[in-house]
Amino acid sequence: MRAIGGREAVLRHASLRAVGTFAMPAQGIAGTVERVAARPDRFREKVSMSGVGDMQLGFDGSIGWMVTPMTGPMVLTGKQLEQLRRDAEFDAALHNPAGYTSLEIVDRVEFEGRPAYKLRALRTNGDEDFEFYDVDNGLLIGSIVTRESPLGTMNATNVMSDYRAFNGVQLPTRQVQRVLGTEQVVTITSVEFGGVDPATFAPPASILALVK
Amino acid sequence: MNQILVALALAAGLAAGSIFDAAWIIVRDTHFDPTFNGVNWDQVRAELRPRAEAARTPEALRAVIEAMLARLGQSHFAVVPAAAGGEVADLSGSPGFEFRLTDREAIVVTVDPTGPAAGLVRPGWSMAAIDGVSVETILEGVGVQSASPMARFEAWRRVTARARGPVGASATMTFSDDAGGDHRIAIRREPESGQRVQVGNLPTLTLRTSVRAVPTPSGRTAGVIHFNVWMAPVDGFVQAAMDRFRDATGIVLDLRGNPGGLALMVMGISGHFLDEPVLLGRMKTRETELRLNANPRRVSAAGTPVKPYSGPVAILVDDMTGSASECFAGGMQAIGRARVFGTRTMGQALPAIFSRLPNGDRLVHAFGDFVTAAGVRLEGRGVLPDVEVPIARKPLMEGRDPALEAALRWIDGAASATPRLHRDLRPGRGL
Repeated sequence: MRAIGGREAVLRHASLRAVGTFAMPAQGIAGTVERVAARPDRFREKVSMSGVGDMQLGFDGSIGWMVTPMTGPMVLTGKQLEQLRRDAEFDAALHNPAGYTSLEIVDRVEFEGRPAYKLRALRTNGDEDFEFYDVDNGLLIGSIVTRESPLGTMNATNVMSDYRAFNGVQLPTRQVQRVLGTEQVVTITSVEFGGVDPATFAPPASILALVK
Repeated sequence: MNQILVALALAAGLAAGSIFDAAWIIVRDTHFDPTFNGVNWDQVRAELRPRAEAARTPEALRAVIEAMLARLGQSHFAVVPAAAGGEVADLSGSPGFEFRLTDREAIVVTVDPTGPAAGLVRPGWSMAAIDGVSVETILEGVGVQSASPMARFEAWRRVTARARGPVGASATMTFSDDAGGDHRIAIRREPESGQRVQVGNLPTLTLRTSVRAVPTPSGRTAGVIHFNVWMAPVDGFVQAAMDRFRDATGIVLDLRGNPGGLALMVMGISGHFLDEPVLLGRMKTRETELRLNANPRRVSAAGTPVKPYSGPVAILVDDMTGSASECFAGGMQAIGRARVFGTRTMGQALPAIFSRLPNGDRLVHAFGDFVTAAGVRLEGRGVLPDVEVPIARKPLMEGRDPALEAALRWIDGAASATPRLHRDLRPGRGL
């Protein structure tokens, strides 16, 4: 927590908007990404890819949803919804004890070429994630997670790097996700804290029609 | 990187061997089957790497990598040259008609009414020669009569490579009509009509869509929806078509000549016809199993709640229906939600991705194996139509479409027998 600026710095902000680029280099896919989040667990992400269109994901505190040009609008339920709610937590870095059965450093390993402490995070619902913290500076440099998706259960490895300070909070500006043999790279170019209109998190009309 | 740069890369020692290795490693690490379809992958490398090291041109290296991939005996493994300038042959120009191979002939099945063959070539004609080379010669050594879908696809690819060419280049083609008359016609190839779609490293595809209301034999109305590739803009097109035909007696999805595209679209398009997230099939990767479930489309383009279409659905296929189209047709058939008309499909149903090689070429490689909800593996087999309707010259000459006619007759019967009843969509049940 100290590594990213301290608890107070994290709690000072209630919302953020981050924009950047999205790429799948091996597949030659490029685009943009916009992420908007607010306390306690509001989240919305839009990835715009050339030739594909907009892939959107959101959680407004009760409805978890996804709209893509490949699947159409989807309301997420069950474990997908539960995991999205959790991943949307604005203060995830604080590791609210209520959400965990145990948080334990289980090993000291090398992660992406860096010495790292391996944290085993056992959720109250039984989910197990692993997080990796740089031994030298304490920053989160990666995670290995299992997530439900519309296609089924997937394992993903996330690599975070290129930390920069934004309003007193250190955030990774390069995030690589490896899943199903592909690599997705998000490069954050700007982060603004505060000023996010709560209406931003309202699901689109196609989703609202599904939950009527 | 263009052809010259690839050659320079080779000359500079970017080493054909390392490029070969990169392709070999990608397959080693991502092939869905750890036994590599029974092929000793290490041995393949040991045998072919010296040939790769000896390659002095990009074409020679590609040929070695293609030979390596061919050992797998599976679809969706190929090398795509780095850029348009590096293509082995420029096939961007189309003669403006499509053909299908029967056991003996290359038969024209459609003519683009706005293309260069319009008014010159007629459906039902048999293409006999291109630029003085007979189709028979072009197909020498390829088993057109083979039951193997792969062999049939290779035969089609060979003729296509002759019929297409650079935009603006002319070809002299000889056709025979049903009366035995020969027609020798010069056709200037043109860009294909349609919307260009480019996704990452995938070759630029030309999307063509059409939708029309067609009367059934008994005078009911069926909506006929056609799209030629599974690309993102198709979703909005099908959504609009389904909003138009929500009350139609039946829907015909024409996937003839549709070689696939973005496989995940199967989830969205199938959801227009399924009110539950029914499993259509599984994509088995080395590490996991992905499920292709329908995403029920319970909202219109205007944002109002709707019920997915519950009437009879027919799917038209032929031997150029491949990949995502096969996952869709085979999946819908397996759960009994659609009846399939036409000829056996391509049998190339492996989900694949593109990866970049060190020289800029792209490697197409399958990462999964598709199996329908009924447990049927489509690779090498294809989708077998419920109603086989072979391609024949006479009806084409008469302006008829026997596969569509069969589908419309079935829609009439299905509408009379089971008007929008709840269906049991477990594999093996249903229609």
